[in-house]
Amino acid sequence: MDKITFKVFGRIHAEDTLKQKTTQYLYSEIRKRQVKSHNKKLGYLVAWASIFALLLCGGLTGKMYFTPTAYIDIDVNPSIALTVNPFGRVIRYGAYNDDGTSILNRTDISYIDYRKALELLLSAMEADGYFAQDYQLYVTVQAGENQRESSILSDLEQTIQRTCESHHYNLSAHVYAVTEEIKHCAADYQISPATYLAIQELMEIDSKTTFEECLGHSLHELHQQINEKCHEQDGNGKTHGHGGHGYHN
Amino acid sequence: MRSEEDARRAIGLYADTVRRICFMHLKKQEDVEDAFQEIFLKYILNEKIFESHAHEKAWLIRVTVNVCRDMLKSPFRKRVCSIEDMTVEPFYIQEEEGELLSCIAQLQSKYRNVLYLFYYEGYSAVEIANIMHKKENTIYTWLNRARKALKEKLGGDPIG
Repeated sequence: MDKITFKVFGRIHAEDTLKQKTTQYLYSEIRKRQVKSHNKKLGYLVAWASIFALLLCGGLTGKMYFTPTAYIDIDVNPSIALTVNPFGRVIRYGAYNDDGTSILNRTDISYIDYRKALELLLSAMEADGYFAQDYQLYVTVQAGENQRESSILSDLEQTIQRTCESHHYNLSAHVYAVTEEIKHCAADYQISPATYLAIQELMEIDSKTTFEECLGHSLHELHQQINEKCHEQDGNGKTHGHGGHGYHN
Repeated sequence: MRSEEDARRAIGLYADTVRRICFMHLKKQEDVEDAFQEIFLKYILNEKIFESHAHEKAWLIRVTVNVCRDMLKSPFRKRVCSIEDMTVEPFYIQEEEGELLSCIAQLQSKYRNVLYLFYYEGYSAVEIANIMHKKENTIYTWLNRARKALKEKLGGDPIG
């Protein structure tokens, strides 16, 4: 038995039709898979692009959500500061004094609309009896952009009016805009812009009064002192104010 | 995935080798066609870089043997060849050669493979061992047994 014996294998060949059929089959498979592969790559590309776009949108929205665009300060005696985002939501808040802290401890205003936040804070203050003591409400807004500032001021006035009407109480309210500079100066002393302006006013009326002396006083006390000084000077009981949009119910 | 050019080249180079191994295992023409397509499809889908033509050929032989074996194992299709079936071969096979091929076809598939690879393709026992993933001594044993079995089937007639 040798290699010559097995030369018989050499008589077996792949038939031309078999080769042609196989070639055609392979060509069609290659093309089919190339299209599939191309579609798959395109699918991956679209998927990744969508994910990227979603992440980008999410990131931008997230960043935008936590970007402060307006600062609202509410001062009765409780003195509270709200930071508002472009969507009108309260993203940060804090109190300038213990009364403010006491109110905030009982009132959850995180991430809610600033109008609703004001409503809740007014209700809490009313419950604590501040409005029955003839206290005045001072609300200041610093938003940088005039249109937004006007819109917020208008919203706040309407909210105060609506809250007063629904709770049936009288409230002397002053709602006005302050400049960025005033807001910063007030923030430096950890007081509300309304308190800062009241101290400035008191110092103008009484040159002997120092800023540091006034820092310990509440806004209500400062206004009492202003009224007293005015009485002393004018003798006619004229009240000095900031000429803001007041709402008296 | 390999290109159309690779597919065309591989069929041109290795179609006969693949066909011969298929001949030793499969009877029906449609089975041969299926096996052919499957073997060369595996080739184009395999992205292995071959060191040489010899390496490529050895890989294809290995795949062919496996594909044929898998087809025969399939419980859904009866591909097992009877002795009579195996005598029905292409018209160009002469009667005497047909008898020899018929006898080879009656051997166990492992014996058919080693006889073909050793005597026709000219691979050494070591090379066959590498292709078949078997030990060298196993190949020698199979070769001896295959020769003995074939001689018995041929009635001890001297061949070649």
